[in-house]
Amino acid sequence: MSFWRTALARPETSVVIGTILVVLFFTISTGGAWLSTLPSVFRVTAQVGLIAIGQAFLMSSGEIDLSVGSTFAVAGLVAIWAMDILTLGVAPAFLVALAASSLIGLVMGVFTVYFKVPSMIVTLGALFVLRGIAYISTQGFSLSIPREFRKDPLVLLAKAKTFDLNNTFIVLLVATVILAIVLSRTRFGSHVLAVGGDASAALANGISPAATKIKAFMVCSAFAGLSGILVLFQEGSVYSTSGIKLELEAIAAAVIGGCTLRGGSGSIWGPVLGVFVLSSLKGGLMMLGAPTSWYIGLVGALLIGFLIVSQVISASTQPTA
Amino acid sequence: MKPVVELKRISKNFGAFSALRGIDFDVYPGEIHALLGDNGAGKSTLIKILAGVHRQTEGQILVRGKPMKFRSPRDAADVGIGTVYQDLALAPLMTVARNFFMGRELIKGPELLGMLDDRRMARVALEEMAKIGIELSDAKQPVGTLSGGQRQSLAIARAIYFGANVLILDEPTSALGQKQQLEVLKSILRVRARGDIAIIFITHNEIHAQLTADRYTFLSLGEVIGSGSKVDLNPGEIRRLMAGGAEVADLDAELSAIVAQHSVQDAKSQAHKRTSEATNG
Repeated sequence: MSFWRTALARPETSVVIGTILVVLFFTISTGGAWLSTLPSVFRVTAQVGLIAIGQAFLMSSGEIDLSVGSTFAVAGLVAIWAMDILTLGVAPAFLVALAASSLIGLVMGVFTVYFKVPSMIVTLGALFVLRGIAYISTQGFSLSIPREFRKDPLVLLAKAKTFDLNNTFIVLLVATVILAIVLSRTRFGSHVLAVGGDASAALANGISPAATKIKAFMVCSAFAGLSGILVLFQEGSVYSTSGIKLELEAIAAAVIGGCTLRGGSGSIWGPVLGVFVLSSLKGGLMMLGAPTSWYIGLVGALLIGFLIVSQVISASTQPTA
Repeated sequence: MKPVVELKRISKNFGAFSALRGIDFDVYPGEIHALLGDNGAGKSTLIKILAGVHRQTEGQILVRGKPMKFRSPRDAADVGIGTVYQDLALAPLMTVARNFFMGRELIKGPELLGMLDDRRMARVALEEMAKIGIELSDAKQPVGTLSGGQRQSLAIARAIYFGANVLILDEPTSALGQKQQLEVLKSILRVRARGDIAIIFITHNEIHAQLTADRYTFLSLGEVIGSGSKVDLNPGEIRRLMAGGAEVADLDAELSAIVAQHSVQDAKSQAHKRTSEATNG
């Protein structure tokens, strides 16, 4: 009994059920053919998943970042700029781009915390500003990795597969484990949850909500940047439109995976399953012969459906709130 | 025995408004000193000065005989003054153990990694709460699942565990149901039984004060209007001072006048209703 109570009280319960249903549905309805598309589903899951886990971490602190799609593009552009103009190697360029992404998070965090502008507004502004930078630097088209770096081992590594899995997907799995441990088992994670749960209580107990939230912003932006850099290595180019709407998919996946806009609780691996469910839909619908234009509407319907299910579940397991 | 904390001639002005005027107050280890008074009497200002949130305009704070200047709540906490505010500073979604150690987590392994020692935190939290009479079986349950009284006791146990030897309880029994209030009062008495902790119990419930306190100080409009020990004050006197020094007899008279007026009006409107019903029917 107590096992079921605990299992039902977890924020990830509905997404686990959803994942099982999606896998069963597509496998049965396509006579098993859908399973062969899994590698490409995983590839997309890696890209959006890295963004979603950062977003989930930030949402646990009670804030949100709408700019991740733009940060995704800018990180790739910074990497190209570091290789092309600064003539750095691929590895240093990777680090420079990652640092630049964290810096974006730092700035947004400072604006949110010290000027008391809601993060939704600050990061919405950042979404436009950073996208503007992407348009200007690509002149509306695209930029590519300089020729001499295209065969760099690091770039090839990002493109390669291990045991038929994209290496980026393995990066996602490792990152998920690490971030999940950070959120649930470390002091920093505990502070993030405390600040998200009740910032004034955290402050009264000597935790700085400002510093904690700024760090969470940096984690979120760094993961969006990491995704952007890895995708650049895979595809070789960044377009002026790279990453558009990724923020919405990442937030939808985070919410489906058990995160709330209120903060104070959250999951890291739940959102990864959320991304998997959303990514599966795209390919699965196509195989069933449904027009892909159905996808976006279905995402919205799923999002609302999942929220209702998890509300019902949590209402049934928590007698007092 | 010397008082652990002594306030001498404390005054506090907010601009032209004087919230406190020459307050004397002290508390000894092992006693409960109730600080009573109506809303606006200056109770909160006084404890905020003690807790290092506000600075007094005049007067002195002595801790174990030594004059102190508190610049921040941290300074007050460092000399062992622990305040349990009404909002309790708990995060309802987090577990009992995590709340108990919020901001002072126990770490295992290398400090840099900051890996939490959840098992030890759970054990200590349960032990410390049991000491003041709250038996919980699971330190992993969210604080949101605790009763109001259990939450209050959690905050008290936490303050004591982290070194408070002066415990300031800000209206710990308000906003609780009858049974919960009793639970909290029991916890307070268990803390007192340890003998080494001085408790300042802020309340405007005279019954709760009478059930627990050894001494009373009454505030009204920023001044002490009465104080004394349990033996010095009879219940009638306590009630008079609670009402800000007004004679209870006067209050009774005022109240019954209002009740009387009301019943006359009631009778009139009833009569009016009946006549209008009669004409309509």
